This record gives sequence, structure tokens and C-alpha cells, in this order.
Amino acid sequence: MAKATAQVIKKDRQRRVVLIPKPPKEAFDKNRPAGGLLQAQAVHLRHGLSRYVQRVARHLHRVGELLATDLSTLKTEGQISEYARQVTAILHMKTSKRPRK
Amino acid sequence: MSAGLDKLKHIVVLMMENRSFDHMLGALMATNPQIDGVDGTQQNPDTTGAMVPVQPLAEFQSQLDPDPNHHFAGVDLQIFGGAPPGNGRVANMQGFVKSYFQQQQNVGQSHKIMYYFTPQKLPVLTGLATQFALFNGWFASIPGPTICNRAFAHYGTSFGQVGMDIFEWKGPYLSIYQRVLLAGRTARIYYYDGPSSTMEIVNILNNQPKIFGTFDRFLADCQSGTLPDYSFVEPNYNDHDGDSEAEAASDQHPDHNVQHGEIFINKVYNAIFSNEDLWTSTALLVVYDEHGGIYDHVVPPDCTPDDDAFTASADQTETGAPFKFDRLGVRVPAVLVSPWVPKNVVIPGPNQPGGRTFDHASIPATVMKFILKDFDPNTLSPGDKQKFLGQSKREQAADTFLDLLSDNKQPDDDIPSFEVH
Repeated sequence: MAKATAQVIKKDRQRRVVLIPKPPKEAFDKNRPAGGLLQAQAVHLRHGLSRYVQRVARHLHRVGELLATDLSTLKTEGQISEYARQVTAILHMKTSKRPRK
Repeated sequence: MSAGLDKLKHIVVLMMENRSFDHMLGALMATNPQIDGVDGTQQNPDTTGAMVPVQPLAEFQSQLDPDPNHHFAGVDLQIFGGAPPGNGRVANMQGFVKSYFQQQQNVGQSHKIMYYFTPQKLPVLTGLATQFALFNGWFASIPGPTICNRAFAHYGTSFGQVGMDIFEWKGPYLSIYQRVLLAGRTARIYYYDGPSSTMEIVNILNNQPKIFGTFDRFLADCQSGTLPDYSFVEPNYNDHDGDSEAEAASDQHPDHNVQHGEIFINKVYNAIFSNEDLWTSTALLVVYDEHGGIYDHVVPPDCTPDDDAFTASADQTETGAPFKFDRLGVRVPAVLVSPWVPKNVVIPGPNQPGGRTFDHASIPATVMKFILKDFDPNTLSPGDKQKFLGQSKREQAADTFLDLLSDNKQPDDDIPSFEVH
């Protein structure tokens, strides 16, 4: 995917050409045992996901409250605008700042 | 101000993985004695007591398997030769072979940690290093592994971390991306693609997902002239299937093929060069996060200790002694690419006359000094101003590198174009 995009970049200014060798196909091995860096990356990713779930859970709680709002109680422009602000923030995924540990 | 600095609009940092200076660039000393590399006389003792010299026998792949130890205690052994922490011990860079031996108890395999590449094998990295600026004295920020070293590039500190553990941001220092955004400027971390993801997960990805983009977007942004003021590029960290073809790891982390990393460095360089306006207004730093346990002969210098709150305990270092972040990690390759850099310039290291010392804290320090130089923090709220100006002791003490941009622009027809054949 990245390679395809790279190929469309124009090279119309003259430069000194230096040839570089093509790596062998055997260099690619997705069955290579993952090293410590990639294993650590997976741990960090899972941790990041757990934090995301915590945020989403807080989000869903708020979504439930907003869905349950009796719209007939929103009488003023101020009340409607506050409702709109909260819903828009959620629809734009702008979560409130999470509390610091 | 030089013409090069006057034109500067963008800084791009490409951070590769786990190779030492001597391993990748040391052989260049044969053609330029200013380069503090290797000449065959550097050596390390093995576990039989025999001395093992550096040799130009590095291969692209299948040689550094298992992955050499580069955790804090392992690097301590590599730097101090096995002398335990305490007063009077001397850093001598004599423990690399001993350290690698510990992993397989194989004397022959342990010698491979002393191998280095000939320049002919690395035409892109050595070509850029000899065309632009090579740093003799760029060191990893910590004598330890990836995550904590990369944190220095983002925050100017690792908040006391010396390992790969998860750590939650606890302030007070903002990432350089947050500071750039506070100043109303633009910044982005470009990771290769979804399957490769990023190494900047727990704090930056979790809290600032909008500053991330893929490498395809980097290429598109270069082409369209919409590159942010500051960009940090991550290589592909693993072999995986792409949409239309195999995507080979390009990070050069052992035991990934080094040639794929060469091609990736070239893609970043070529994307910038291909947009003439961008080429004229961009400084590209190619640097490695740490040495990956591979031999280098230059003793990492002492440095300004980090904040008192950021001391790693003896349990964390696993050496029996705490660490106050008062010594840099092992030296890594670093090359500054810009048409405004004089051709074939070598920035002297700490052991040379006029020597300068850099580490990854130099990256946020440089962005603050050059990209955000005209920003008036008094336009921020008092709270944001305090956050914006906050810099760790290490970042405050770090040297910056864009003074290397001169008044004279290298002509395009002398600039190398690397093409795969």
C-alpha cells in the first residue's frame, strides 16, 4: 500500500543515481518468532485498549442519560443548546478529560 | 540567522531501531578520519579470555539471532565490562561479547556482536551520512531499551522509566506534540500502518489519537505540501500481509532485514526531496532509538541528571544500584539531511576538539528552539503557559542541532538518488 503511493511521487529533478540492492524474498517471514519489542508492544496495545474501554464505558453511561432525556422538558434555548453540546461532543468522540491518577 | 534557518518550516524525525554507530557507520572512518568509527583495532574480550576484534562481517539478517540483550542491566555489563556498580568503576565498553555470550553460551555466536557493515552494504545511510551531516556524538538517552529511549524523543524524559514497562503520564512535562499544538502549530506521528501500529501507545495514542497518521498519509502530505511543522515517522515494526503485497519490517531491529530499512529511509528522504518547496524548507533527522546491544567503542558520557523525582530504583535497573539518568546510553547513528547542510560535514563527538553531545532529548529541545521560537507563551492562559514552558532537566541541558543549517544550498544535481535494482 505504501509502496504504491510512493511510486506516484514525481522525480523530475536530476540527481546523482546510486543503486541499492533489492532484499531477497526470504527476508520476509511473518512466522518469525516475535521478539521482546513486539511482545511489549502487544502488552502496551492491550493496556491502551483497556483504557479505551474505560473511557467508552463512561461515555456509554452518559449516552444512556442523554437518550433517556425527556425532550419535552427542554423548554429554553439554553437547555436545548446544552443538550446539543453534549450530544455533539459524543458524536464527535470528544470525550471529557479522563481523571488523572 | 542563516538562509537555511530562515527557510526552515518543517522538522521530520525518522527513528529506526536498535543499531549502534560503529555497526552501521563506523567503517566510514577509512575514508574520512574525522568520523569516530572503527579501524579493526577495537576489541572486546570473550569468555575464554581471547580478544575479539571488530570485523566488517555484518550481514543483513540471520546473524544477530537471538536479539542481543539491551535491557538496562545488560547494557551496564556492556559499558562497564562486568564491574559491579560502585565508586571507582570505569566505563570501558569491554562487556559486549560477554553480554552476548550469556544468551546462548556460544563463544562463536558471541563474537558476532563485534561485526560492522561495510559502507557498500548500506548505500542509503552511508550515502546520506557522507552527503549531509553525520553526528559523531549522538547517544541513546538511557543505557536501556526502546520504550524509555523513545519517550525522551517525545517528552525529553522517560519519567524515571528504564525499561519496557507500561507507564502512565504523570506530568508535569507535556509531549512535544502537545506543546506544538498549544502554540497553534501542527505536529503528527506517522506510523507505518495498522498492523505495524506505533510504539507510542499508552500515553500518546491513548490521549492524542488525532495526531496520528499512517505512512501513506506522510507520502501524500509530502506530495501535497501539507506536512506538519513537526513530524515523527515510525518504520514498519513487523512482517505482515499488506493489502496487495507482503509488508516486510523496515525498522532494522535484529533480526529484521537491514536492506528493507535502507529502502524505507530512502522513501522518507525521497518523499521530501520530490517536493522542491518541501526539500528547501525541511530538516530530516535519521536516528536510531538505541544500540540494540551491538558494539560501539565510544564511552557514553555523563550528563545532567534528570529531575530528582525521576530516579530509577535498584529493582528497576536490576543492577543493584539506582540510576539518576546521569549517563547517556550507547552511541547510535544519526544523520541530519537538508540541502542547507554543508556536504560531508562531521559534527565532532565528546572525545574530539569542539565536541558536542546529543541525545534524544535534543529532539524536543530543537523543536522548541527553532519551530516554536516566534511563539509568545504569554498568549496562553497561565496554566497552559506553565505547561508549555515546562522542560525536564535533561531537555533543558540538551544540545540542539539546527545551527548546522548554513547559508549555502547544495545543488540538486549533486544530491544522491537511491534506486532499488
